[in-house]
Amino acid sequence: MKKKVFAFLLVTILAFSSLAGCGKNPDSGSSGDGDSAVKDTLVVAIPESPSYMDPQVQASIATFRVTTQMFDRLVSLDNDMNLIPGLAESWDVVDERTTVFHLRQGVKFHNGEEMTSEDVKYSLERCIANDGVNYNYLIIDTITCDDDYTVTITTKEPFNALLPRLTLDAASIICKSADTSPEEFNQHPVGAGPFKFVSWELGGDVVLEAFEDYYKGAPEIKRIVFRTIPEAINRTIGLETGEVDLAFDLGISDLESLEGNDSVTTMTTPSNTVWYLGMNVQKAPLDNVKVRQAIAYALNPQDYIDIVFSGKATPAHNTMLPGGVEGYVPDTVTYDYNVETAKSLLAEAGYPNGFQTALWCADSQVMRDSAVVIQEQLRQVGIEAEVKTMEQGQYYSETGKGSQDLFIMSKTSIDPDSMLRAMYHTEAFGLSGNRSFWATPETDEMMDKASTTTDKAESMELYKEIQTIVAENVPLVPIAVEHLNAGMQSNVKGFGLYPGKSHYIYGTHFE
Amino acid sequence: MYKFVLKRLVMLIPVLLGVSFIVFSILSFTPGDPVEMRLGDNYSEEAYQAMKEEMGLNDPFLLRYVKYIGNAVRGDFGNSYRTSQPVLNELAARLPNTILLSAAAMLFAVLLGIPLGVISATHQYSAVDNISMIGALFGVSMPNFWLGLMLIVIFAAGLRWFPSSGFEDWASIVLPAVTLSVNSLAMITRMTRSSMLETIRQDYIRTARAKGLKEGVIVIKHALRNAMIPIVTTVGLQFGFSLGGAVLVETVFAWPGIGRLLVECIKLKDTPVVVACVLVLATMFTVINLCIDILYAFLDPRIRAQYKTAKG
Repeated sequence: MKKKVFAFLLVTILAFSSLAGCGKNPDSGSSGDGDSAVKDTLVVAIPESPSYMDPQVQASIATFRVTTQMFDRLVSLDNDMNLIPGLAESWDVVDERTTVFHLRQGVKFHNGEEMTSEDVKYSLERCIANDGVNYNYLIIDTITCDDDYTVTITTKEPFNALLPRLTLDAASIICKSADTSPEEFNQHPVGAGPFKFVSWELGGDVVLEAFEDYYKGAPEIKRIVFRTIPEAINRTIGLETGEVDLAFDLGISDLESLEGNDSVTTMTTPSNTVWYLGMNVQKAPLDNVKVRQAIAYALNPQDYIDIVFSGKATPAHNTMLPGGVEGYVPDTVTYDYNVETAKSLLAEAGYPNGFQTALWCADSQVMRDSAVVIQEQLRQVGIEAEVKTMEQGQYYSETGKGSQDLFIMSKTSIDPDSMLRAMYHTEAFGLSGNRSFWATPETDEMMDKASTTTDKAESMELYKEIQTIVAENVPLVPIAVEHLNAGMQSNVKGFGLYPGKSHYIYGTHFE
Repeated sequence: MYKFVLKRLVMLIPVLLGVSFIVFSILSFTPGDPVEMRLGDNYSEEAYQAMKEEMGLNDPFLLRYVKYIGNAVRGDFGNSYRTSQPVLNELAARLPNTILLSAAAMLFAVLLGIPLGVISATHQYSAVDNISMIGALFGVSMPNFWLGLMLIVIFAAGLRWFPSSGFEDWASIVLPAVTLSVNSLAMITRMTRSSMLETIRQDYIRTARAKGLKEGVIVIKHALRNAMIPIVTTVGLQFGFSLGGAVLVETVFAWPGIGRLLVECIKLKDTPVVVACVLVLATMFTVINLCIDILYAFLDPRIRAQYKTAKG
């Protein structure tokens, strides 16, 4: 009897270990082409799977990270946030509402067709028609095809931030004839980017292959496989075992542990995402500017960064514009950490013993850690903040209604108009971004003026003034600029991080 | 017998209706707006209203529920609020993976658990028994995501025997299945042991020994068969739990199943996907338990008689 049972057990264990033989070569991968002399398939680990292959349905970084390899735009931003020509090789700003774009000739789409102004007009109009992505483009009035390679775009009002808006993924240029229906296009997307679509299993891998006729030259990587690996630790382990060639958004503690590993390279860069402590100025005592200034003095950004981001973040400037964005000026007003000044300001405002309030946050790791740190820093000056955590969807809608007191939030931007407007304009009250509900007619007017003037110097001057006024009134305290990171095998070269998070893979190659 | 089965299948309908109503209500009346989920950060009021109309969210709650059920009966589970793709596609892509994982985990748990339980019972207080029981205690107490991570660190990153995540080939299922099976393995081992201990002490076992039958025959043919009822019940329940509870394991191993899909969709208030997933899981759970009940009939003639004669 014992023998029988033992034999049974032995067979079971052996059966399972025989499966180990199948998995002995982690480098072979599912496509089975890791055996070629020079590797040409790049396996990229992403934290979230894309929802669409069509960039004009929903604004989501997860989707854009994939579509940006397949679609190009009229103009682009390089990794240093400089405007460079894309599918448009040049442009003329005719007047404050009109820009004429001269398209590159001979650009091919993935299906072999040539790009003309018809495709550009069609793509932009398709973007404007889509409520999920059109917010930044409602300012566009008309798009006309002057000839096959010239497009004129006019805006409803004078507007000088058109070019940065056209670098966003929603303004991707698609092939008009390939868009027979939204479902069809989502399953067979056709763009003019360096990689073309091969296959996508829902929730599984996205496979792209090099587009040989790309106008800037065929990519050196012949195939990209985007693999969704939601846990950061798994992405790191994937790098260590060699199953993954490139991984986005590694865990901050993993970066340190990978430092000693010779087979893996890591890189970080400041992003355009700023974390801030918002204050709802509709609620006392936050309606008192001295109280807000006191809170600004009470915060210690460096400590915050060390705890929440393990040191991997840059202190933010009190205007919410990250360093790389146009319009950024060094601080004219600063609130360096000073507990004494904070306390005396509170006393002046009539709260010598501090006060009680609520600090709202959503249930992500960064927000929770932020809440703990800020709560403690506020306690030092006598402000008792009760932390209120809630689920993300509810958080955005409740803070949009103005039920909060203090709250933690982040905002990403690429141009000064969209950032400042979303944070400080009357039009943006609530869900559109201004959850502090602070605005003045003066700053509103200045922002409107700055975005309509064609005089660059004038707009920069206006932005500088706006930022000073905003800093003096401090309806929110920007704390830290998040860093983006990626890890890759040491034989992966030529990759650069894009502060807008949808990194370009074109230019990457194996050594 | 067939009447019995038929009756049970018919009872499935009120169960599914009740479950779907509860889930629908919870998702509809808790805070969190699916329209905002869909539109993201920036949108205009017109866009919001248009999207809300498109998603059918302007109808009153009961009307929405009735519409949903009406469509579901015809196989149309609607479109996801998140992606506006048909829910059925997402389910069809991911459900087989979860079933495969749960089945593999249960197979492992049963193939290892029952023999271990039998040995522990027949050799009570031996080394095997003690180790099994300590192991079982460990198995029910230990968080399975921790075990999963440990297995990855040792077997994937360390020994490179298995891939660390995803579903590439057959080797990918080993680590997640073992992780998922541990809890069930522990329960099945303990249940087998205690059920066997009870059965072995019965008089008829002593009779069989006195008759001179070989010990092996006694244990397997007589004792185990009679001890099976509680064991089979446990297996059925555990299979049900592992179907729904594969979430953590699917997260740790990036396994493309419906566990993670379900959690993500609950967070994002994607009601059509959540209700569809829950309906599918509830159906599977009920069917599995029905199979277990039928299995009883084969194991125990007394129960077989009950099914055949009783009205209900």
